[in-house]
Amino acid sequence: MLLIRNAMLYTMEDGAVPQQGDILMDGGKIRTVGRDLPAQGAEVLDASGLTATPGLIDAHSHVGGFAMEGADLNEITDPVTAHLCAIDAIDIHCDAFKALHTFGITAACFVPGSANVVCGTGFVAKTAGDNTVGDLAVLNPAVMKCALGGNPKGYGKKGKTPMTRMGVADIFRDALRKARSYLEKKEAARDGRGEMPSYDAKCEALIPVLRREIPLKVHCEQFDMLTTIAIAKEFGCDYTIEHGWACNLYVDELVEGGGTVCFGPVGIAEGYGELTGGDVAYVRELDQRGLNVCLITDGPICGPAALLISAGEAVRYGVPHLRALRMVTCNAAKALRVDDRLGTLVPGKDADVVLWSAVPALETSARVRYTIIDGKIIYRDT
Amino acid sequence: MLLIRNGRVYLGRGRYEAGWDVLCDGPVIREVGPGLQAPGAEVVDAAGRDVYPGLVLGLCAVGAMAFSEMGQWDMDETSRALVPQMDIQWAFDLRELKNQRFARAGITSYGLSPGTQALLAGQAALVHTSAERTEDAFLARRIALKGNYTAAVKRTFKAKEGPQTRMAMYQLLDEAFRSAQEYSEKEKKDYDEGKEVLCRVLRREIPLIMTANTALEAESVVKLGRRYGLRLVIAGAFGVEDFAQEIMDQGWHVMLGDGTNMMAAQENHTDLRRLLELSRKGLDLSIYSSGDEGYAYGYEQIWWNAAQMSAAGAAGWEIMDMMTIRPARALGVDALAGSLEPGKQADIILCRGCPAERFDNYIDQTIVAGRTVFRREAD
Repeated sequence: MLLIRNAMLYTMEDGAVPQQGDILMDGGKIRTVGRDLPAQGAEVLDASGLTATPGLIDAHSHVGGFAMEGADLNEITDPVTAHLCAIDAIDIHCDAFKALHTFGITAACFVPGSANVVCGTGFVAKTAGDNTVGDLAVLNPAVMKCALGGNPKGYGKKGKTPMTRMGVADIFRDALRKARSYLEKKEAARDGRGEMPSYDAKCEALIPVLRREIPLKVHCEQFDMLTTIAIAKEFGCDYTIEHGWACNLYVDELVEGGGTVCFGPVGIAEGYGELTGGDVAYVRELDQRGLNVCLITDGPICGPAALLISAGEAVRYGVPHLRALRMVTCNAAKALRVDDRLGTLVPGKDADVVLWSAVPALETSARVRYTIIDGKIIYRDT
Repeated sequence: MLLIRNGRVYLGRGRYEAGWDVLCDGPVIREVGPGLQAPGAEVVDAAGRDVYPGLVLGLCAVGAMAFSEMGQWDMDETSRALVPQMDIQWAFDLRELKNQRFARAGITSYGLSPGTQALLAGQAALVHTSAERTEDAFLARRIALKGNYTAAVKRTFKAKEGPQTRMAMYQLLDEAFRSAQEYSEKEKKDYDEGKEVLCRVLRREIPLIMTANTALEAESVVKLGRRYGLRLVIAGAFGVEDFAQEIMDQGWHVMLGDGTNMMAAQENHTDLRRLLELSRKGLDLSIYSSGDEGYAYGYEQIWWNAAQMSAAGAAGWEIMDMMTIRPARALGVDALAGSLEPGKQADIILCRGCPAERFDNYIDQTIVAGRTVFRREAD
């Protein structure tokens, strides 16, 4: 048992205002949040002067799988690798992974890279804890990572399909169509109509997508997000838009489509083609229009410090502070469908708490003093 | 004439003066002080506002990248490892500059610089972040020689004529400066533009800005600077806190790279608190926005690093100095930019408070060369 005493609590619950209070944790869960809680024999952590938030959640990360000396998240032998799993490529023992929790990131969605059209499944995991990646996993599979646009067009350089966005969309739709037909045959066979199709690992992996058990998590820049919305609608799938540069041009369509926008990395120079519209200020309108918005680091493209800083930069360019903080906590939990366990400081949820030296995403001096995952202090700033 | 009236004016080194004015005459500052009179001047009411010099971003290639030609960017001439004669001004595209958000971020000038691939990459310029004509953008040309002493050089020249190793990188640099020295002493010589540039560096007319991302790389750069008595700026400089004494003794400058880009800070084990301590003991330290894998994809990241510095314990004004007067001095352009003083460029930002302290201390207005180029929309 651990009792955090007298912190300024940002619970991130809807409508909650920051207030002074205690958090009692037991068995890896938050038991009680309130004022002057009795210690009941718990270890007491005096958090006077500190600010408590839920652990930050990075909704889009490759940390542990994209070490610069050898990338393990892009299997560029086949543009459809739905059956590959990021959980088989993330090294939780490397320095980069171990750095995540020191910046207040207590969970992330680790996803395959974007070299293929259908890249494989991603999973949600804590950033510290027991010994293996399996122990850290909160939800696996959590998403089906896909990619539109320039990245999968890389096949074109080798004279293969896809070499255009037309080719990309064709492969994407074809994969979903095959999976749908496979699923229909399976269901029919189960009902005694026709034969069971022979096992197809790719189609199997896409079944949870067709059943809306997991969303498509689609790397999109510019108008590729319209392609995603259209294809998701065609196949009755849920989707999240990843990166979303230039989302400001497609707000109406995004609102109508309803999927989460995981925006970032932010702060890119205005370039050309895909490389435009990475302006953090765009999330303000999306948020105002009622979309679920997350900010992401795309780590290791940005380091782990960038997650909180992105929220701070959103504030710098006009997003209300609490709304910005949601984009790296409860909004991410919701997008990843782990909001029953993560994202807010509420009794019953996982005891993933960060204690900051000042108000994060508002005061620049805020740094992590304690990171707590599953009720255990796993980092303290000395 | 433009009169910024009644602000809390920042004069550097932690000195603020409340209720002061800044009078701009065309593109330059004419006077800074209390109760200034300028009949007929356009007046900006700065009551309740902090007035800072605009940010001077030490190194950046945006404006010279040629984004549309992916893979053939215009800031990296990598046909040879040593191309000191390259001049960034010929790669500058005003339209690329005009697409950016520099002014919104309070950045009013920057060291437009050759890239991160060649060992000696070429000469940098100081440009304004807003201009109508290309000619107007340039505040100073050929202000520094930019070089790189990093793994990127090895990668770039591995399949070419080298260098493939840090041994060869050092030897090539050493020979370049040795032969330039010899060239300078010759009475009769064939004109060599590259050597002429190196001679300016040897005469300490311009600084040598070398990117070094690891302690080992920085050590070699220090050795080179010592051997030839150069004015050194060590950029990137991750891990330099381990041997900063000589850098401090020589008065060299450390332009700390972007700790939020990729895993720069983690992999290079930069200790910002120690660096800050050294800065307080006299280390000439600034921050900029490029990481260890070449130029970062932006420039607003200078604020991200400001936040990191703040989290490490730096006061807002210390960070503002690291983004204004210190980089200006490092680039040798402090007569033009970096502080609010008569005669300098009227590059000014008006803020709700110190923007390095709180994310909501908004930059309300940015003035470049006496012209308002950004105004924040009301909430």
